[in-house]
Amino acid sequence: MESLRELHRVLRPHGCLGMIWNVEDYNQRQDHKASTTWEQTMQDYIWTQDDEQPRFRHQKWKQVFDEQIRSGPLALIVGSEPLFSLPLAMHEDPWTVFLPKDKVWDRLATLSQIAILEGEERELVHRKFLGAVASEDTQKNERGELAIHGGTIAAWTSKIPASGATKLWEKQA
Amino acid sequence: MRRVLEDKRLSRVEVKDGHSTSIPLPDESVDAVVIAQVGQVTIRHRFGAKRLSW
Repeated sequence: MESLRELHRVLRPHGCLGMIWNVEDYNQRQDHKASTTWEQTMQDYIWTQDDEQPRFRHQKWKQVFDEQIRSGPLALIVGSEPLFSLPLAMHEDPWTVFLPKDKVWDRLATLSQIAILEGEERELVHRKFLGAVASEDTQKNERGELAIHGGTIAAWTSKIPASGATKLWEKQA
Repeated sequence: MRRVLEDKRLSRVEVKDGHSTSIPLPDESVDAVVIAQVGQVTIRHRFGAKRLSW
């Protein structure tokens, strides 16, 4: 919320705020169904290791926009204008990239849930990964590289100036 | 990630240090803010803001 206020401050009246994420299936929100078994297995695993740091998959970023207009009984008296217009515009472009198996693991291991593991613990997850990619529905290209599915997700909105109604009226006049 | 952005030496793009809660820009100074590449390890959002000339 503090960040939203700061973004609101630097934007010109009716300026735009855009957000972009690149999200692999295995790093998605909990109710998202992954494209293949191995990606679902890793997604499930990452959720079991949740460290409660807010990330895209927790969807808390979206709650912040909803809360900006959560009005209490006082809001009727003092008036509480939201900072950014709702509903947010959203767009998702799905993509697939192919990587050799060891590179897929390297990429997966950059997630902090796996990056912090050492020795035997890390080896266990690695074996889980190797078992999961051996599933029948794992997609491969002609070079034997594995498919990683994901999406580029964009959301955007615009600033509502503090005296938004007046300014819009002035524009029309 | 910041270094990657700097190394690209994009024309008309200035890289500044900042925080999502204290952006080094004056009030009502930019047309748009795009938030991307939010770190997996860092907790606070990084941001990029570009002044557009219309």
